Amino acid sequence: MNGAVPNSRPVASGTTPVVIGVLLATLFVSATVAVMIGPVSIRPDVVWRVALDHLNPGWLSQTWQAFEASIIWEVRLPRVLLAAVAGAGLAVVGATLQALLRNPLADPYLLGTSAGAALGAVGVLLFGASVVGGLSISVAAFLGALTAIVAVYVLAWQDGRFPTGRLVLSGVAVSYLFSSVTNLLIFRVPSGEQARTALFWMLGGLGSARWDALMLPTVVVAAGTCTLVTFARALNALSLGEEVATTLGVDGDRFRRIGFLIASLSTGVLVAVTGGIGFVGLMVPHFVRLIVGADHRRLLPAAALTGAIFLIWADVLARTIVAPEELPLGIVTAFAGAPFFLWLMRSRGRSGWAS
Amino acid sequence: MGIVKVDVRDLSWAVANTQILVDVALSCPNGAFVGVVGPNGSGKSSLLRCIYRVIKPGSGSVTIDGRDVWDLTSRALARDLAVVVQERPNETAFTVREVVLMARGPHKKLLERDTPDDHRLVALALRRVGIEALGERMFDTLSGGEKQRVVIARALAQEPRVLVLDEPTTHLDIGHQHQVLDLIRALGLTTIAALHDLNLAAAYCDQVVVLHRGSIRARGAPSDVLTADLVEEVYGVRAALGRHPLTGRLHVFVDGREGKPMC
Repeated sequence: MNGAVPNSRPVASGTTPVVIGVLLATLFVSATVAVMIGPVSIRPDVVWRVALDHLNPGWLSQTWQAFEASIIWEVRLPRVLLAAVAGAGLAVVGATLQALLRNPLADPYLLGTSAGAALGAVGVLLFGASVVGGLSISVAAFLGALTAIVAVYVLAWQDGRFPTGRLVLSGVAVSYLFSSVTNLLIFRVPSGEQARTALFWMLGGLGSARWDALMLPTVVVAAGTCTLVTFARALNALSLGEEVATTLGVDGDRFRRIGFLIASLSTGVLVAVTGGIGFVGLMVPHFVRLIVGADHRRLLPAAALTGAIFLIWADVLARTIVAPEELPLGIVTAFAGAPFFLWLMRSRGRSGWAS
Repeated sequence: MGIVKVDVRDLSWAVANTQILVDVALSCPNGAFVGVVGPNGSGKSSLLRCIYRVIKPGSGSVTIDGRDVWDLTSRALARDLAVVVQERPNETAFTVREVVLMARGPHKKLLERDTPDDHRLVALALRRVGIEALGERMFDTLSGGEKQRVVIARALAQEPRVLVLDEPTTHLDIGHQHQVLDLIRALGLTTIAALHDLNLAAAYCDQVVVLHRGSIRARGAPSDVLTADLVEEVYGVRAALGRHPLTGRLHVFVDGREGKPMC
């Protein structure tokens, strides 16, 4: 694309610890600032004093107001942490699926997850929990995601394997099917306000962030990311193709199954809590690949941190731009992220898939 | 470094009632270079894929030093046997060095890092195929011939005892064809290669196996096997044999323009 740019990786592997260090520091600062910002401004030291006080009560002398503690601990901190967990999880799953499916357009929702979750959630939102047996929105969303994922894998199954092409096609087809039902429900609902609520859920948001809703996604994303990082060499080989991976000593079928399981489970758990936050899982891996290269031993940790930072800031925008109202997070991620990504792609020239 | 013997016995493989391979047997002794030749669709690639354990044959076996390849894990097999295949990835964001470094994977424990030794082996492999200057280039930006040499460098960095090559000279110009085959010969590994070019097969192979419609039509030393009749029968072109004016080696001359119709 740009002849003046060398066709080599932008960052040498020796600088990886520096990149990870900078990202960790940025994540810490971002999380702190994100908790400070809101209708009530809070000083940075108070943020961490309150957090530490909750972890170890009575340890610090109380220099904050009770309402500050309640805002930090009950509202903002769980929300910022959920943003970090969701951002990290979506970015890691996106990078993994792009490698396993060898498809630069793969994102966490490609295999039906978000369409299934949307149908479950919208069903509860529009018709009330009684219709679906008293389920909460997030449980219904998770069951919807699970149904869609199972349908995709069953349909793609052939001769004991999941061929890549069939997996993508059944993912797309099942997504369309579930979406058509969801859209029909929204279209037929008499109240415009209800339709708006359903649409808001589908575009994603972190309004439901509470400590008890944080536990499961955190555990699943952390365990999944760690497992994928230990398989980073296998992911590298698999992104060259399944047959090549086999000749490089990677049991392709086994790693693909583990990879898809982790990807589907993480996405299902996240989408149930946050709705379908677009862009993060698709673009953050590409963005990070432009910086650290394609080796998954560097790519996955860097993508996790970058996804976390990106979603923390996207959520800050979502809750401040039209305060006291909130924008759906999916709108902010795409609106803020797409131009930035395009600028980076054009300025870095040839490297990675974006060449 | 031990050298190994590869044996293929009574290999048959069918897909949906079409026999792709029928009772194929070949033996590649220690350090020998066996060429597999035959027209498109004769089963060359399928035979190789059985050897490197991507296809499970319907019957028959492939053994390396007496051990069935299906009794080995993919990791164990990849430490013994490296493969250069026709199909190459496109759309990767890896550098050349990263692609070649993947050869060290089968020698690694989970989470083990790359060592200076690994980097030395990669540098050596790149130098041997003459692309040490391309190490930091993005793999995707290379020409077909350069990519082919990267894949060969990766096979070398794998430190195998057996090499399996499917058309290793495709995409290479004539100079590099000979450079690569000279290099592979010089390694002295047990080598099985599918080759399109009968003259390259005649020049480099200790033994040639001719596949035709999934069965072995002939096998032996190139000068015994490559006859005008056989080339006419298998490839459907008129052929004559002579000597290369420079080297004096066996040379196959073909004229496809008035050949027999393909059957």
